[in-house]
Amino acid sequence: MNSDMHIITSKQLMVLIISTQIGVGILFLPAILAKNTGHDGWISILLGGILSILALIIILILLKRYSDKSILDINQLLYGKYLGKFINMIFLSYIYFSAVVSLRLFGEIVQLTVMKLTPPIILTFFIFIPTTYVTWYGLKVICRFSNIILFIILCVFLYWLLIYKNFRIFFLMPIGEAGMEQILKSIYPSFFAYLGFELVAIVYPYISDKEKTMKYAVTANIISTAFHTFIVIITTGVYGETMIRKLVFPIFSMASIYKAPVLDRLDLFFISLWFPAMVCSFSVYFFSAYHVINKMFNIKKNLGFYAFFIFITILLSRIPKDFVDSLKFMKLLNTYGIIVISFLVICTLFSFINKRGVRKK
Amino acid sequence: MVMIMPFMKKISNLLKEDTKQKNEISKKLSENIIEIEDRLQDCPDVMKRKVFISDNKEAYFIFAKDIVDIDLLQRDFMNPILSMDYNELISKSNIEKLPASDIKFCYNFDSVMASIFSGNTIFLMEGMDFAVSCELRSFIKRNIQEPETEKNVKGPHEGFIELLDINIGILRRKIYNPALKFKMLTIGAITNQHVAIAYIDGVANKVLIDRLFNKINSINYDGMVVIGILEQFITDFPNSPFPQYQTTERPDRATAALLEGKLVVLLDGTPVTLIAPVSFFSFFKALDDYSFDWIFGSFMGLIRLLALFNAVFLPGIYIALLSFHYYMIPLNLLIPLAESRATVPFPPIIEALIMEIIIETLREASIRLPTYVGTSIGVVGGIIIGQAAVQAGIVSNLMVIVVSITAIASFSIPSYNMGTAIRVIRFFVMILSSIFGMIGIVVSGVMMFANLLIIESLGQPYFQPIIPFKAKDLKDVIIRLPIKFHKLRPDIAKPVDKKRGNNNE
Repeated sequence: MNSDMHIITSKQLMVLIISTQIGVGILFLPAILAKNTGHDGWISILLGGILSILALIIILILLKRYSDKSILDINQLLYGKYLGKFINMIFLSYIYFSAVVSLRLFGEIVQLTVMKLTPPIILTFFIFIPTTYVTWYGLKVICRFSNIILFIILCVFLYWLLIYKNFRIFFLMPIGEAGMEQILKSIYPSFFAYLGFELVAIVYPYISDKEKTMKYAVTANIISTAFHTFIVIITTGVYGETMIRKLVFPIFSMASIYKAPVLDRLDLFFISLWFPAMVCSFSVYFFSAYHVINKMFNIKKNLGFYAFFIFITILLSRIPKDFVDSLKFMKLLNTYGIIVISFLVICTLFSFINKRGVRKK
Repeated sequence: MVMIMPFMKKISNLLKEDTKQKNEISKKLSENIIEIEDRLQDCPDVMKRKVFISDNKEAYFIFAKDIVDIDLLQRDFMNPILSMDYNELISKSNIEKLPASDIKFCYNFDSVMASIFSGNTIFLMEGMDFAVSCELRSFIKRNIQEPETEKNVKGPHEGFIELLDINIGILRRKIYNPALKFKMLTIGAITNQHVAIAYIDGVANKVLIDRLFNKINSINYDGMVVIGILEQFITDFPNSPFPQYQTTERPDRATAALLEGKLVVLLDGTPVTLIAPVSFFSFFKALDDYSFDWIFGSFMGLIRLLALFNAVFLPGIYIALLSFHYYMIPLNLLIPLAESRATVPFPPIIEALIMEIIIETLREASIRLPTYVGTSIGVVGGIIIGQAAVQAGIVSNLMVIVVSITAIASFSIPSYNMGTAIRVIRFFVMILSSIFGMIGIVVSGVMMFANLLIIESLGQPYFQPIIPFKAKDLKDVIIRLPIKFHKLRPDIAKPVDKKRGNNNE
């Protein structure tokens, strides 16, 4: 495998983290949060963001201690060869599971919003095409492609300027009505929006300027925290908590508020705009899964295995029966993700006890 | 053993030479002539003029009569030689005194053959173990005209022609500076064409020059009939629809590229040159953008961006909206649209394909027809087919408008290569949008975008300066800032000297 095609800079890592975090999760979040905490969902998501930033910093400290090793090597150093391999398998299963669930959710979103009558398996295959294409060319191209997320964020802000008249601040008042307990409880579902930063543990060895990584990675997480909070605030402020509970994708519904002079409804364009964001987010998971499998089983880059892997991913993504079922898988993934991130945090602490392989200063 | 090795080699070389053709020129003229005649079978254009020097010594002038300047040859080469004595001629220093501009000596038959066919005249004489080669060429060439495919309003109206020497001369005339260099190489196993890589020393990056030189040098092929073949040999991503090198027939465009530190490949036998490395956005620039002020340049940039979008996506959007998302169309537009669609028996994709294929056929037909027939093709295509198809109820009115807008948009893209790429992509978008609606358009758009990010031109990212982002180069992408902001050369060619103008200011 050509090693040059994976080398990225810290700035590219920043875009990569933003694009994994802003993708599928935020579409469901306002509705889920409104069910739990009413109009105070934005506090939960803000707190969730701060938690994720803390976790990211701790994980980066771990990675920095081993300079150019990925989490797969670190596990083997920390826990010995066999236990390490076992933990790697769990880690792989998490990444692959999240890739599969993202694909399923991605497919469901496209199906529900645009293509209601197309057979799901064909649609899944079709929306998979850009990802397979980008992933084949490696991490560098994925990072370049992820830059589109910045453009999407800009568009969302511009669109908000068009509909700011519909925003009513009293929908958000009084702050903290739901109570501290509810708000803290809602951090748990809101954490799904931030999953993705743990993949830095896999791409870390490919960063060329590691001294700046901490700065840019944290910036990335701050940007996505701000964006998520912003989205929850405006959707709640536009629709109010009672209305928002009934919507599936509040962001897309918001897009149909503005009546453009020539185009009757903007929501289709908004979904089209969001599509690349979902492609980015899914591509990173898919790339990580493919890359980790290749690394663990020493598979050379070849088209046959790649096609097989794609095929299996599509098949596995059809396991949930319907949309409600796939939401259950999403919750499962969230729990799984939080466990993995907690595990990474524990690894950091453990690396201070077992100092094998730690880079000497 | 070590001592013997070179000796063995010599023997084996000698044995090889025996089996091969004779190469060294001998002192006996008759042997030489036999060898040359052997090599020149079925070459009716090569003249062998037999002359006698004083003392009845035989001598020959050999030249290809259609590519030498016969007047000059008689005046400056034959006349002086014939007026000299045999004893004078046998010494090289006397021959070097001849008034012709370029005199060389050949010692073997391979170089004799090469110089005959590059337009030189060969002089052979009894008792001389070398041949005198004199360069007095005169190729039949066409005049320097403005290229048909790349016209402009305010720029110079000259273009490259088919001869490499003249083209090099044209570039020299534009840049009076010894820093303008040409790396020469020969390619084509049969054609033996010359290729020149032009660059400006001290501006162009040596690494890129070497990379391009090695790429061209490693081509193993019969010959380059057109520069497109050479281009296909040296592209890194042959499966991408986008051109990765820019072709131009305009010396002013080539000069502008050279000044930015880019490299220009000139191929003998074609007026078209290649510029490398280039970015995606340079295909949407015409030189007129620079000869007018920045407001006009930026305006044209925006118009072309819109044209690009229309040329790629407009028919696809029409198909997607009509087939799947008719709720997107405002009601007062939907009614007339439905009325005009009511008589059409086909689904939108068939309707669009009929019209697009007609337009493409028309375009293809009009390229090869002479201009006076071309006008009537326009009448037949534009008026008769457009009007009649609507009245016959094969296509709707709006479809004709959409197709015309698309065609005009794709004509407005300055580069012909990029235009063809866009035409092909448009058909993909149309077919995908007819199956998957808006998602089909988005997926094809994302694929196109991904492809633009993947491909590289001579190792430089193709979609810069947007991605990878280069803030300093944004001055000249779509919006062109005033000329005072253009003090730095764009980064794409990795110029050694980044600043335009004198450095000591």
